Amino acid sequence: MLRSTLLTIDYIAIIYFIIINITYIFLNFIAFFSIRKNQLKEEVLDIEKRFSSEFYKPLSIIVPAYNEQETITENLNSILKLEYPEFEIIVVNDGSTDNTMEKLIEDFNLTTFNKNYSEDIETKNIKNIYKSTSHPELFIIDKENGGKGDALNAGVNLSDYPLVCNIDADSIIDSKALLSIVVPFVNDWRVVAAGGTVRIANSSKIQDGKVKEVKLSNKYLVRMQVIEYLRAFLFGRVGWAGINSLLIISGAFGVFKKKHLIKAGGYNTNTVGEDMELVLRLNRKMNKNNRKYKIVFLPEPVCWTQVPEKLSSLKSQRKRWHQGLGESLLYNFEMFFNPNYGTSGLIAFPFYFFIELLGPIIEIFGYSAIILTILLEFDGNNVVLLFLVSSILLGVLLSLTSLLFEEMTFRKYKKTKDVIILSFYAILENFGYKQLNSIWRFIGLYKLITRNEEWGYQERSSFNVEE
Amino acid sequence: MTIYLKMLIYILSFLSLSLFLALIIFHLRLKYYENKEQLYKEKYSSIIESYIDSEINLEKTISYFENENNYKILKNIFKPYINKYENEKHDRLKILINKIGLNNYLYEKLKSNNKKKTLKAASFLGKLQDRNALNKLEKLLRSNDRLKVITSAWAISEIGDLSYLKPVIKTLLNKSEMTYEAITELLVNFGKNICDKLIDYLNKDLKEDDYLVNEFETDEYKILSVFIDIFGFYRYEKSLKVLEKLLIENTNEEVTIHIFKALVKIGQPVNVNLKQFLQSESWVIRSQSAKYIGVIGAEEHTQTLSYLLYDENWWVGYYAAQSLWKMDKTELMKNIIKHDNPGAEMCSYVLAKNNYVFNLEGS
Repeated sequence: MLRSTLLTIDYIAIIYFIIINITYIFLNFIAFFSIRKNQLKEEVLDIEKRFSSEFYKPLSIIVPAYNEQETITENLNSILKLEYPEFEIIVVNDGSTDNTMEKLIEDFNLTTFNKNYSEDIETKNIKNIYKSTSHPELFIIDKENGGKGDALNAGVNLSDYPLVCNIDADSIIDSKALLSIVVPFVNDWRVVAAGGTVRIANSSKIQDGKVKEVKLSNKYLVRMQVIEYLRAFLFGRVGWAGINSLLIISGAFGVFKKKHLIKAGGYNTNTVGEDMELVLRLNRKMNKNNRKYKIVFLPEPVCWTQVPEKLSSLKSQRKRWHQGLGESLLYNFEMFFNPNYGTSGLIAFPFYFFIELLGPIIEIFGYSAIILTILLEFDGNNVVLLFLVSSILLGVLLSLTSLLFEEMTFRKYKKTKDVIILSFYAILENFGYKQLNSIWRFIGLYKLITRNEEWGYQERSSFNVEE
Repeated sequence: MTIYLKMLIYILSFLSLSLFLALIIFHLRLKYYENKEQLYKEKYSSIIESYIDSEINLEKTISYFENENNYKILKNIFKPYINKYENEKHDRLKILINKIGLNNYLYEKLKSNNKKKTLKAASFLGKLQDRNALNKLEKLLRSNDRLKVITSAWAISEIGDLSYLKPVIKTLLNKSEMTYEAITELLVNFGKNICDKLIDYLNKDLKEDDYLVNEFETDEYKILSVFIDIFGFYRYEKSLKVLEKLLIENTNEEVTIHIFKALVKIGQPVNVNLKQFLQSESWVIRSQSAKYIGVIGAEEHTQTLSYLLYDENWWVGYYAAQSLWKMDKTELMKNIIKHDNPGAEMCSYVLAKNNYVFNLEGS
């Protein structure tokens, strides 16, 4: 009885590993061709040279901030240096309990200001609105704490322009990234939202608020995340976008047409995954209104972020992400296997539900069952072991594929030594890191069921800034 | 079962190892290519710069390139210069590039079956404003591939031959999802002369029913919107007569909005009663016409603007207040604030936005 139960779990887990790896290899290939096409487009249409004229759409940048006193000035200075013809920056202090607001008032010469606050989306109470006397394009909302979604909604209410861009207060945006991310809105009227890529900046050289040199961190945990970001968050998402099934735009860097964002009801304040939830809801609303629309993901406009360097921070981040994933899917469950949503409803949503959301259950039980089967030396343990090796090798193959595609497209890591180190980590992540991730995601799933919410504070080390 | 699994493991191991080797080889190959390009840059940059600055003549410059046939790298070296320079210096570069044979290389690539090579060549020939490429580019324009269509349209517009204007407009309006902004941005590459050609089209349309629709095979409002945007871009005052006529005769809201946006840029008055637009049902028309009033300083509409200050749409109120500010009606605005009349909040906002500091007792 025990033997047959264990073997059943073994095989379910192994089939799951094979499905997830093959899907991602497939997505990586779609992404590769999609990126090459995009790069060709950028080259022949000379996007860098364009938009020096008046054909841009003005943009409101919304920066939600909660307890960011250590980094807010440095990061805002970086955002103020972005290259874009006309934009405003709205920082939303979401009831910080530290000195974020005092720091902003002091460093940016703020005075209270009577700017139009539209109340298109309901939010927590606004305490005050400020404008900077040193930077006329900078506005600050000081409001009661309501969570990241609520802070973003307050920013949308205050914004003046037809496009709104959300940027995390602790991220660095490439100086031309705004220009690139707005191009699809001009080139194709169907585009309602566009997401940019988030990359890892730990140890990279930062100068004048810009990433001057991409360096590979020497920390084990960061290197693992570099591989993971390439595989899942870069090529994975470009791949989904390539088959018109993108279900998430990162909260760290995305642009939306304001009117559609408001029509969809703004960000959901009852989830920690407000970024994914919004994209899913946009899909639903657009579909219901029978409007032709496109949600695009651009691999080139890059937002740089600091990833956790400590296990405790990473654990908390992953739990929160998984909880957010679950909430977003459940709020929009109408899309599940719904042919009205095309490949998003028939392929992407079920994949996210069964493989991404419920995956940790299969992984935890699977790993335990495989170890027990081998330790107890049941009949057939040989086959299980071979299956396990195959699925691990498939994982290695997937990570190496992502690395090769990165080399063939963006080449952010220039040193040969870095490429070799990353190849080594593509193998190493299969032994320990992936399993730890499964445990954290499993806890996130538990939190989803117990509805435990938090703003998601992440302890960060400062960027590697050079004066 | 075990044998098959073992075979699978061997295959996966072999694939992983091959991928790793491919990755390293690809990395080293790119590094080699980058170094080679760097060497070329070091070798030719100073020569090209001296030629552009007329320090060395054409014959002498050509002699430096005599035995050079790596056109792929040469194209990359010349590209930043072609993008950077305009007018005389651009013309000098075009002559040099042609003489060293790069254009012939690009014609070959333009004929290639490889889409990537074709598009890169088309784009570069456009920057070189090479008229010899026009026939081939027009063929590309007729393609069903969206990227081929847009690339060739860009290249043709950069070459600037107005005899190709009609097929370009027709194709963009019918075969692309580009916004008006993107289409206008492309078409203005033809140069300011495009405006006269567009006026011709519009005059013919005024004489002959559905002329534009028949010529461009799409909805009239789309064609008009693009034409008007181009007039606005060039601040083309000669278009005022046509715009006036369109304001009176046209009934399409979208076209009216484009007309006011263009008029705001042109900044000249038209002989049309604007009050009807300030009272339009469309808030976009109300806001754009309010903005235009401020640009031309049409003070006879001051009263209507003061009603618009508390329009149900925020943008209408905002532009009405901005126009009052531009027409130097600060006393009126201060009065509205002082008596807390409707529109006081908008007046305060716009005065603050323009850094106008005052107190309600004095000035």
